[in-house]
Amino acid sequence: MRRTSIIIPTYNALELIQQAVSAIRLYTDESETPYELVVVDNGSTDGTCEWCVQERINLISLPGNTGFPTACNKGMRIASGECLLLLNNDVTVSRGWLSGLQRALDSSPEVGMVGPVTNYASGKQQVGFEVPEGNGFHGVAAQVARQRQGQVEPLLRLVGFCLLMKRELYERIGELDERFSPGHYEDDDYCLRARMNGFSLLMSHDVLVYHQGSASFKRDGLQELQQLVERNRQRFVEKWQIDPMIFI
Amino acid sequence: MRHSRAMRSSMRRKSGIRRTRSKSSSRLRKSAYVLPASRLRRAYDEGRLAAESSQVRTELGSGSTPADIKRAQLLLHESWTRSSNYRAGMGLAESMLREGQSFSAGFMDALQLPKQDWLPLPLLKRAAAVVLSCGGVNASACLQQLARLPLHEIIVVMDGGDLGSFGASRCHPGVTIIHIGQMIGGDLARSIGARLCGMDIILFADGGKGDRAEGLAQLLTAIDGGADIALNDETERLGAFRKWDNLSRVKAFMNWSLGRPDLHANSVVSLPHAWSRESLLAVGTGAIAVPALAQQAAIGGKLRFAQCPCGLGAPREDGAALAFGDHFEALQAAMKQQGNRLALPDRVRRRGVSGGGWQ
Repeated sequence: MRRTSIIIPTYNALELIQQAVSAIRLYTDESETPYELVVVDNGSTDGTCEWCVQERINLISLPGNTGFPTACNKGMRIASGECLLLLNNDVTVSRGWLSGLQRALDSSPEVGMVGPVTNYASGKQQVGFEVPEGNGFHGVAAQVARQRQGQVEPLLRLVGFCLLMKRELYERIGELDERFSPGHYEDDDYCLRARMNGFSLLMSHDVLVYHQGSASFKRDGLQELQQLVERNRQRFVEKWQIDPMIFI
Repeated sequence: MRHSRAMRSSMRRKSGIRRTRSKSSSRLRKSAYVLPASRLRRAYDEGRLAAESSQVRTELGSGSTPADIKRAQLLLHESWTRSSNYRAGMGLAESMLREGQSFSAGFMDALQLPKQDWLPLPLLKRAAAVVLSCGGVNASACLQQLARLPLHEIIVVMDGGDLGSFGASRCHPGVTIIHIGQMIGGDLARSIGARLCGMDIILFADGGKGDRAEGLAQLLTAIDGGADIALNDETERLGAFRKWDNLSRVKAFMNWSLGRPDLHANSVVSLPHAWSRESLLAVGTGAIAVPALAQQAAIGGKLRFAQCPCGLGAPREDGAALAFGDHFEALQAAMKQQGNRLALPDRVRRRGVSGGGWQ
């Protein structure tokens, strides 16, 4: 069975990361989809590192906040799995999530990256129906897994909140572009590079995860977030001479 | 009657005459060499001048957070590299280190920042250190020494959920710590640390020892000068062969068998040592996890070794038992590639006749 390295960057969000890790431990079948966790801490001061050490979770404790792309890159360098999965710390996974994503990834040799559907994401990955929080969520997720089993859809861009990729893709196209630090549009950039190298991207309709959405960035204020998003959109356009909106 | 040299010296010894030969007196002169105060003063003044340059002032700003202090250290290092007369390939002399410290004192005084115990080095490439701190080792002493060197990255690798060990390393600002949940041991830790590191010179240091920065500096400058691997020269410390420990004998045996008797018992199996990025990638970060294999691959790949007189104490005997097996494995791997005789063809017997290899 192929091992997945789950890389979770985090910054001063101890409760969120505890929730994320407990959901992964509860809802991921280790015998079917073996995995390793790699938490990349961006200089948290709220006890995140100490918790990870106590829980014996693989951790990279960085001295300061380097943002999402740099943290992901460091996590990917020490990851040893045949598949790599980038996960935001504010994502709660559901039963059978990793098997569903792996199935989609293995469906064809051209497939390079796979993402789930969710309650909150820009683009086609956001579902049209209401997704309850807490325990209600898992019931809905199980229903979705049953009703939409095996349904996948090719996309031009996947959001980086939960992104499963083959190691072959990582070795061919390299790391996330750190010019997009602290975050936003590095996933658009990565998806474009993947497609330019002949890989296809799939969305799994049968895997629903709960995403709180920009928890780290929203803490610093909505206006700062909007400015950051706009700045990075400009950087994308400067790099590629393409409007990223055409892929969404 | 002409007495033999031995007879003459024994006669001299009996009569109490002690003749100092010119060679030994010049050796005495070298060890008692005192750096003239004028050179130290000049280095101090150059440090002040460098700090007062507008480029340094604009880059540094006025902060005094740990990140600002680190930036000051790297700027100091850049300035020293420019103004020292060091050329790559020269050994790093004690005088060069002392001048660097004077330069640093002048630099910090001009910026009105508190004095630091830094050791500026004239390096053209970027250097990083991987500190092996597995098995609950406290890396504080090692990190204190490494903080004195102009390193762009310090990575501590630890395992097993030891909060005390983690806390001791986390106290040091600017350090990246990799914690692995399972007990992995120092060898695999080298490979993981090497994978994370992105610098041109990678120094592997033992977290359990507080090796002095002056000694480690020799390894960094050796790689900067063009060597692929810089080893700590243990030959003098080991002394006569009959006093060697078993691991040193095995290391020397492997070096001899692979055609490198000049390496004596020096090997990447022991810490500390340094690699250049290209040679590490050539050998492969996977091979680094079995140090004896890395040594065999480095010799087989004709990498350039530098043996530096770092003046450090004995390495810790951690995992020596494992190392014997690794050497066995490495020699077997070499024999598969080069044949059973390795670098030592038999020029006397005709082994081919009875089914053996290489003459």
